[in-house]
Amino acid sequence: MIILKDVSKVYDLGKTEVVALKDINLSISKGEFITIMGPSGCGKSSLLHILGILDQPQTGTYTLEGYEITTLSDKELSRIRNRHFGFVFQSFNLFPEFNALENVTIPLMYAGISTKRRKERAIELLSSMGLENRMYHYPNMLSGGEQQRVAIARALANDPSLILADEPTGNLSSKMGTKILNIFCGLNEKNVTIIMVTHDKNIGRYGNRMICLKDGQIISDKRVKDRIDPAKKVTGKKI
Amino acid sequence: MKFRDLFGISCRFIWNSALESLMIILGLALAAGIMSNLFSLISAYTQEMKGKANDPHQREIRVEIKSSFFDRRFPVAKIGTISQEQFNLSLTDLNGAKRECPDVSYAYIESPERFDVTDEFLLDKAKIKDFEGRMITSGYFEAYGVRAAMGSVFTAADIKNANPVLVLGARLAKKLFPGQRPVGKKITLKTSCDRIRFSVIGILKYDENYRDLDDEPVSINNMAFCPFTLSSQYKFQKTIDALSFSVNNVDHLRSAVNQLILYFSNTYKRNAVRVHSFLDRAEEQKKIITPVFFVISFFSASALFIAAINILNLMLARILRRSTNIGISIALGASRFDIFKLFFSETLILGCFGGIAGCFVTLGLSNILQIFLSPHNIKGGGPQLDMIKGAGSLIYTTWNTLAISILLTVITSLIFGIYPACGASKTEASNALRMR
Repeated sequence: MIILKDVSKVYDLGKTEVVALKDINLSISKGEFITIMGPSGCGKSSLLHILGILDQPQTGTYTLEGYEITTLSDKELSRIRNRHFGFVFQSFNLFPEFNALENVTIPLMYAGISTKRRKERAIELLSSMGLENRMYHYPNMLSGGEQQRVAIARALANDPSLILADEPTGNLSSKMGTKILNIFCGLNEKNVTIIMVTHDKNIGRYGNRMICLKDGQIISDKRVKDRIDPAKKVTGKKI
Repeated sequence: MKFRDLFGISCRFIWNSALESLMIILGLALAAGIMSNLFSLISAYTQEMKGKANDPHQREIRVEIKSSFFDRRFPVAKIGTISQEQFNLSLTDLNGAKRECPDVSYAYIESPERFDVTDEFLLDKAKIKDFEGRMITSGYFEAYGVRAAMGSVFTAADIKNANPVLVLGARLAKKLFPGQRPVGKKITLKTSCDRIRFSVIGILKYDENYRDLDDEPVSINNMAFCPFTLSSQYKFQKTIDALSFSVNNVDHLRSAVNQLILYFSNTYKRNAVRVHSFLDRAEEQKKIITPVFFVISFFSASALFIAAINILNLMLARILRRSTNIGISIALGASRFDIFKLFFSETLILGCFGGIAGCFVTLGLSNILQIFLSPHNIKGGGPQLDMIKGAGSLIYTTWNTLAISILLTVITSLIFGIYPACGASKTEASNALRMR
């Protein structure tokens, strides 16, 4: 599905240069639940942004479903982001000007879906997240967990094949965090690929593959042996 | 992204920054208002000048002795004559100038006259003691395009033979001879020359647009006309104060004036005769009004520029504030062009609202200017003040000026909205998402 070959990213800060990613080689298959871990500033978010085509690598190649993304136009890239990717952020990143329902309809609007169909789909998604009674609430009227569930509903609007989550539980209580992670696990069971950035090892155990970064380089890429299975509720450790 | 969605989202963002948006709209409205009033003034002035150029009176050229009204009774010296030998303007000058100046279409004398009614039965019946009129030579009616509705105007023989014939304006004829056919009637009138018994030979066609040289509305319909040569038959002869010339086409006015200046400067001593026309008055008016136009144009351009800078600044600030939102939008599938459209449409909507608000500002401003520049509110005299007094009446808003100013406002807002919109579309999503 995704192949990164010798990908590097350097931020030019004028007098100094910060190497965010260095010679990253990565291959991601459909249906994987990958957790990217590492300390702050190790390049987790940079890698996620490159994987989500929000940023372009300076060197190396990024191949998505056989297509080299640097050869695609902005319109094609935006179409990929809209139809195939779903983003979930730590700080939810909902539009404060729009209510929950409207926030969920935005990716559908960019996809050119009719107003009626958009509303139906948004109601369906918010209901599946248990937010039937919060549809017309604005983000500032929702709790952190509710906001993140709205963000997940928004990410799922166009039935993406890949969910990119940047510390989705970072601003949530452990109870609410577990709830959100369970949602991700549920989605992964439906063959949705999940790439989640976290710095918490326990959260990393929700995935089936764990990639550790340090100073912009992959230091380990291994299968998770003691994966937490939400169905069996094997959550012995506090998240 | 559909137009309806774009419009809806833009309106939502405008509403969410209501105060800021209001400032942009007010700035644009003020600029539109001032621009519209400037266009109204220019348009009205141009129309006025155009109208004047089409008016037969404005195609007239007057040649008179260059002296005060009091001195005008004294003759001027002719070139080639001994200094004591002096002359007044004469019919010879009139005919000579007409002959020598090819661009002059008509040459005539037009001397104001007051006619006193002496017939008892007319005094009783018509209840008119006197009326205004003109003693004229042939060419007058042709120059003004005035025709007889009944009977005829003067023939060349009438002028040459100084026949005591009278042509009446339509309304005057009705007053003097109610319910009767005036042509052929005899009427005794006291003139500045003598008491003369006239025969009415024609009634002029009703003309409500007739204005005299000083722009005062004087109705030709209430006037009577008789041959100028008539005065030569009587003891008190009329002196010729001025010779009048006219052109068929206003484009020939300048060349006709130059030809007349040349002709009369060859005939009379230098600066003895003054040749003036509508062009001189237009020139004088232009001298006064041009600085006014410049001042208003400067303020209008400044207002528009300030409004444009206001848009630029506020839109840039808005983009900076919403950069995370831009990043999120890109992550959700917005293309760079979608981002450009979003901000550009916001500017367009603000520009349109500014233009609409500008209509009300325009109407309000024009009303205020009309009140302030009305002759009742300006005390004092002088040509410049007189001009300003008239300026108020020139400011009236037309759909055209309103449309132009709104269009200009919208275009300005769009031009100054392109840069921020382009900037927004170039936002790096990954950087923007890190900003929050």
